[in-house]
Amino acid sequence: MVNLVTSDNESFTVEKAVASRSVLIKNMLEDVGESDQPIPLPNVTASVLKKVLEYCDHHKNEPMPTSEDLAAEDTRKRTTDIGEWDQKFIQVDQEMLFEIILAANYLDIKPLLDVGCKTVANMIKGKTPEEIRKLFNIVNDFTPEEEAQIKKENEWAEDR
Amino acid sequence: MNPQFFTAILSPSIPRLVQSLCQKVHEFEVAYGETDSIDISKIFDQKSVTPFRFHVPKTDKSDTINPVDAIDEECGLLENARFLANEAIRLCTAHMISILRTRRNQYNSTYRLPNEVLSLIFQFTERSSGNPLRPLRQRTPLNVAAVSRLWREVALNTPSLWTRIDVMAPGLTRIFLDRSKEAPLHLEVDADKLDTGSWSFVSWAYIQALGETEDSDEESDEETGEEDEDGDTHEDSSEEEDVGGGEGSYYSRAAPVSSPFSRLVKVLRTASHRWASLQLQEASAAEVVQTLCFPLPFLESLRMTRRDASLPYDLGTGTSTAYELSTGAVLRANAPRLRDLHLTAVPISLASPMYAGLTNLRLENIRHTASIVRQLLSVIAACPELESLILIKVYFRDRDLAENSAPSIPMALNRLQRLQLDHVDAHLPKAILDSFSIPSSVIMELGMVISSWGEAVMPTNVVNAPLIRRMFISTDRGSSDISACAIIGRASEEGPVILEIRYIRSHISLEFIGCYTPDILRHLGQINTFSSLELLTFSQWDDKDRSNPSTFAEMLASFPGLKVLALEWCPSTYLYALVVSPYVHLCPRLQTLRLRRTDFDETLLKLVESRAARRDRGRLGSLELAGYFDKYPCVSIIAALRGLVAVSEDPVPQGDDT
Repeated sequence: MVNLVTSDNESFTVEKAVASRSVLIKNMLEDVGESDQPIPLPNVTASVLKKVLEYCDHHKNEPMPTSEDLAAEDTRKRTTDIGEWDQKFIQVDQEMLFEIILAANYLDIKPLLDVGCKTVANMIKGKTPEEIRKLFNIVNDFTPEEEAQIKKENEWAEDR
Repeated sequence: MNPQFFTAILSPSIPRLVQSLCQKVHEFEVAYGETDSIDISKIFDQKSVTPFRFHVPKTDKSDTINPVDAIDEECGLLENARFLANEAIRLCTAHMISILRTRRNQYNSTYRLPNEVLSLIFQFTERSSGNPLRPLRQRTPLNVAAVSRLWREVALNTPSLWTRIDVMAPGLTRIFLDRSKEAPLHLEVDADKLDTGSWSFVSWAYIQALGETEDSDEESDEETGEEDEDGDTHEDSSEEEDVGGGEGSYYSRAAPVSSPFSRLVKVLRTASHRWASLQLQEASAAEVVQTLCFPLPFLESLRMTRRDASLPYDLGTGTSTAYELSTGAVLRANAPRLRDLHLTAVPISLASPMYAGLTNLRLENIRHTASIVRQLLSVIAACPELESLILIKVYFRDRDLAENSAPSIPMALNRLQRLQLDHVDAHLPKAILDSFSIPSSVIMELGMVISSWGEAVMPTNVVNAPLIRRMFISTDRGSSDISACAIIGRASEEGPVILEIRYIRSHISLEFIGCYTPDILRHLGQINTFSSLELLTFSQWDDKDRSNPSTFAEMLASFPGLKVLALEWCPSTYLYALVVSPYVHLCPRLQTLRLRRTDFDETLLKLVESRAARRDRGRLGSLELAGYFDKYPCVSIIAALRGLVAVSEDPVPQGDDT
């Protein structure tokens, strides 16, 4: 078993197979060897780690992505299809969605990072810039010069 | 912003607003460390404004300056000053608002993501299969790049976001080319989306002939056809004057250099070393030549389609060509990495080296006027890594050659996963299967066009036959839509179809001869081994009973492992074949017999009596009757059957004679 401690000082004791879905933790375990020392995760809160561990537990028996898989990076990016369980898993509010992506990135869990990024990508697809801004509460911060350039590009896009 | 830019307007006469605004900007920049300032001084340069000065002109007559002119000049200067002040206010406030909004966005959730993660999200949006290229204004790259400064910065630094290029305004094409940097490009060009105007092209016959001329040593004049007679001479300018109009001419019409297609290709050609995939739709023959006549060292996928193969692209009046066709280079091995080739209604000679080394080959709706079946076999032989071979409505000049084209030792295609030959000459599947050794894991779909059963050929070497456990055979009188005979095989109940053999009625056959169980079914099991077949459903959708029980019996003899046999719409005479006698014992392991919409008589009773009493594995244990008419003599026969075997009934409801 592995003991993980979150940024808000909460401890999680999980199977090694579950924790090792994270390449970061897997490498730490390999470096440290057999130890009872808790592993601090200063960039992850308890609520997010709970969610991440739920994902890791569900996928613990699946093969880890091989170097060939990672080499086929282009293929990985080609589809935004998400598995049925993953779709339900990732149905969270926007704040939690970005927290999960950040945690997956920090913990180096590529399949989870992909699920999160694909979900955001699916939210973006087909939307206008204004709709995207509204969706994520972003404001238009372009300078007039930048606006002019964007306007020109959009005019070209309207040509066809 | 450096306040010295505004020295020119630092006058007591300038509204204090501008001065305080400049000071505010300066303070803002100091506070936030912003260095990307707007150079207001450029506006002064552009407008050629002299440094501002304001005074009431003297009205003294001794003054050499005309006072009216002096006043007008001062008014002009003041108006300029007002304009500049307005501009300064607009630009300064816009710049400050921009900076403040950027700071506001930094509290946004998306801004917490590292740039590489945001970049990954963008790539997912663009690379997904369901992401349409059109309309352009909805394209993700343009839209995410127009959300905010950070998103734009990330988008512009994600080259793979800008690699899908289709018919765009030239300016936009250049933007995509620039922003994609050195990333592989995926081009999708629909020529119909371009203004074709007085468009011109080369004939498809010319395209086909190009490959034939390469192969002139191997092919006789008779084989290469009329197109070969002109050989390579069309590179000569003197020949170009003759083009167009004449029968056998390569050029149907001329192609202007300045056509929209040419302009697009010219822009794209600057990055030809990055072309990874190209989809060319509705392109004329000239456009195809124009697009493929230069080296494409990294092209891996080429898909060219036309909707209508019958368009008279190879006809026309023609004028001289305006661009040079490098016929020596066109369709040669200028795409050494090409692995995926799809051609729909684009007839390119099979002698072209472009077919070599492919892993996926799909040809559809092509009538080869010059190429022959032997060339097709050579093409396949040149692709030992082939994974998918699909030929749909592909016809050849010859046909007899197909029958004798197989080499003595079949060549191995160890990677072939899918073989689909649909609406092809009946001899072609056999020729291919006899010429190549294919793994048994292949998924096979063979659809052959016949005008009579005499033309029907049952393919040999159906390598996945031993894997098939469940098979469905149906025969019909057939039409252009319905197969005259279909054989469908699966390895399991829920599994996919791994074998499909269909015979399709030809359009030219006025009356299809032989709507009875065709002899080819007898050959199905005789020349292929269906050693695992356990369930066979035989359906004869034929309202005219021209049944041939002996053929049916011979077919069953090839399936000794059958445990379940279902007969649908079959004549009762077929049941004779299943009666066990001291001399005949077909389907010795048969356990279940299903009859649906199949007449039965006393023969069924004999059949069951001969099989139900057996003590071995071949004891018939179950009889399922469906869709029969519940009246004499069926009622009495069923009553007798009940004592011998488990019978389930589902008769036609009373009054339903359909």
